[in-house]
Amino acid sequence: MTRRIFRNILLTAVLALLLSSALLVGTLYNVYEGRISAEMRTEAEYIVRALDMLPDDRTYFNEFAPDNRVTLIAPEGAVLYDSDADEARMDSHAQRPEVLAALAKGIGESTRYSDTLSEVTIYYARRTADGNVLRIASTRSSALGVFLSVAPQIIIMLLMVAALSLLIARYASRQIVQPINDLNLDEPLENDVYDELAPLLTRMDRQHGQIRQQMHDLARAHADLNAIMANMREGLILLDKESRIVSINHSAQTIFGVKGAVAPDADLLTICRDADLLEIVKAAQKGDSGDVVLPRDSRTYRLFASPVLRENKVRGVVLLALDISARYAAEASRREFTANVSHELKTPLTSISGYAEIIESGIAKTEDVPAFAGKIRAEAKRLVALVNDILELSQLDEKQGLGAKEHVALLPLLEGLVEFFWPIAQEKGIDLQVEGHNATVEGYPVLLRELFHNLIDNAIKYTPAGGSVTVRLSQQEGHIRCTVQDTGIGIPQEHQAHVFERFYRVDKSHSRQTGGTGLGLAIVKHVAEVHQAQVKLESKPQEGTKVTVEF
Amino acid sequence: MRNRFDEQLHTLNHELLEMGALIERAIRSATDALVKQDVEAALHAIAADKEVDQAERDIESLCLKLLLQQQPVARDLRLISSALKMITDMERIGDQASDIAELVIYLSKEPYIKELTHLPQMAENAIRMVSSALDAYVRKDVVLAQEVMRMDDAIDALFVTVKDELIALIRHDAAAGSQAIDLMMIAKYYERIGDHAQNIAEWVEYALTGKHKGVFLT
Repeated sequence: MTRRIFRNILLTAVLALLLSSALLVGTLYNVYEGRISAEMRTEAEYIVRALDMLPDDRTYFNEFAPDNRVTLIAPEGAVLYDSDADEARMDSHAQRPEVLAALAKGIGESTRYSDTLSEVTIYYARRTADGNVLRIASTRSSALGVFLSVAPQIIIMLLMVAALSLLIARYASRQIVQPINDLNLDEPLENDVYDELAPLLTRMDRQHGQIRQQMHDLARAHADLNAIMANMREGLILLDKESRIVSINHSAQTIFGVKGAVAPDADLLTICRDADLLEIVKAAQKGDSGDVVLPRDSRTYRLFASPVLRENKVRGVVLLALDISARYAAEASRREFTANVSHELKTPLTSISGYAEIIESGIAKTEDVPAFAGKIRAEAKRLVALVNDILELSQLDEKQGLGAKEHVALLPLLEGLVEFFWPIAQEKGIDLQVEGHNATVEGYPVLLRELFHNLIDNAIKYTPAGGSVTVRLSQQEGHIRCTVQDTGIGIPQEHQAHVFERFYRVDKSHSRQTGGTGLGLAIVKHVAEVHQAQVKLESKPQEGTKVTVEF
Repeated sequence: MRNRFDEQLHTLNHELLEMGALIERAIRSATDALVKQDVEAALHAIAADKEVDQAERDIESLCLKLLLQQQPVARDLRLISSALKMITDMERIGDQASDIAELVIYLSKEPYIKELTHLPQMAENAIRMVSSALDAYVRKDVVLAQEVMRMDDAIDALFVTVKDELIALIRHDAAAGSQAIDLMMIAKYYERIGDHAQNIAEWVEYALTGKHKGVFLT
């Protein structure tokens, strides 16, 4: 800015200086030259008059000391007299233009420049009465010569002009720029500066508005994204193409057990060193999506790795971790259940077909046939019980066809069951009792009956003769509690955690005798879950078992 | 210049951890194969050994390149030189996992002479040692590295237990001898894996503190 202004000022100043000095020199010189010519003419006139009056030229010239050079030339060209030089050595002047003109017209004038052009000689020739030519020559500095003689002063002035221009340019540019620097760019339209800047400021104001809007949109999008990432239950990790973590959300940190913040540029391998995960990440870096199941701290996750593509080039990898523990566990238990069901169904069927084969082939004695038939019937009964239990369980699993809940009075229900089991208990020599006050729960009477049926059935089954089974109903702190306590064989500690699993049996051989399906307690647990009740088991081997259902 | 060096150090770190992940999976596969007599898992462990060997060569050449071209000093030098030492132990661990897997394939044709109790414990300890040694490297955790060194005693004690059991078994039933020797070898391999993990932990300690087995090497 300063430089440009400086350049312009300097150019203007120099041009002005040069032009004005040239003009001045030219004009003055013309005036000056005119006067010289006039003087020369007058001088020549005087000399010619003098020569005409005096008979001898010599005498005149002997006392002659003119300012200008005076030459007297004979018509044929020989120099008769010269004030500055020795006339004898001078060559013919006949061909000089001023002499020629004087001989022809009486007066001749000419101007000749020196070799350097810095000097000019003006000649004025006049014919005298006796036919000679008198010439007067005046040598002066030429216009250029005059100009050159003042050149040093001009250069000094130019330098001064340059210095001044620089100062002025500095000042001017500061003067121009100051208001621009002082512009309030946040509020462009509030400024009062040059009118020339108005379009710029208007445009700036418009762009300000756009930028503010865009920033706002961007910030909101960013906040939305952050909120989604922070609050999603799925783990999300963004990697660059060298598997450095660009961003990781809270869930992912929890999944990979990262405490505190992840160091910037940390490698994925520093939070999870799993070769399978690494493989899908590598595949994603080559552009293929993939997934892997990753067990971690008793939970199971499925991780999806997808490449982040921009202009068909992989710029990074997105890792999404879903907690599939529940589904994975459910799948596992379903697989196990199916395997168990097939096994459990096969066992009685094998027996049945075995006995049937013996009878069919006639190996069995006639008197043994009823016994075999009895066994077949018992196994068939077991099968039916099993199928019933399985059906019930799957119905509970699906939670379908349960109908509406209703008020169920527990005491009458329990009394009914005790009445039902009374003959069986009597037969085994077991004391079966029910005690407590009535309580009502919201539930499905059929299922609740099934629940207590199973509990009491088990209690009687696993209690030896002379023992007792007590069903107690109580109400405490708003919770209805129903316990079935026996003095039976009890359940060893290591089995207690598993007895509610399907087909789990403490003693396989024993349960075959007692005819259980291994599903009774599983049904109890399920029914309790349907009623949001909790089942607690307390048991000591050889002392008895106490099962508490708390609604 | 520094940026390029940092980039190379990051690559070294990444490849080292990648190799770690490979050997962890290899031991786990070998152990799965042993416990479940699963030939397929054993084959995985054997296949992994090739990858581990390749990783060792890659990291080795990267380390040498770094040493020659960048002439690192102080902490960087310690890091690179300990990486060079660590990969040797890691490669041996890969070999041992593969050796275990080969024996498991051989043993898979017959049921075990006894229920495996202490061997899986040894395996679990060995895996934990290797993982912890690598974790110590990742987290720059000297305390964890020192813990790994102490864990080796447990695995050594288990080895003695297994040995005594197998001797008792052979004494009781000479026919069990051939399998007993194979199981003995497997136990020895796990014990060696523990030793290598201990070595790795020692080099991690060196990389972090400049001390190796209590002595300043710089």
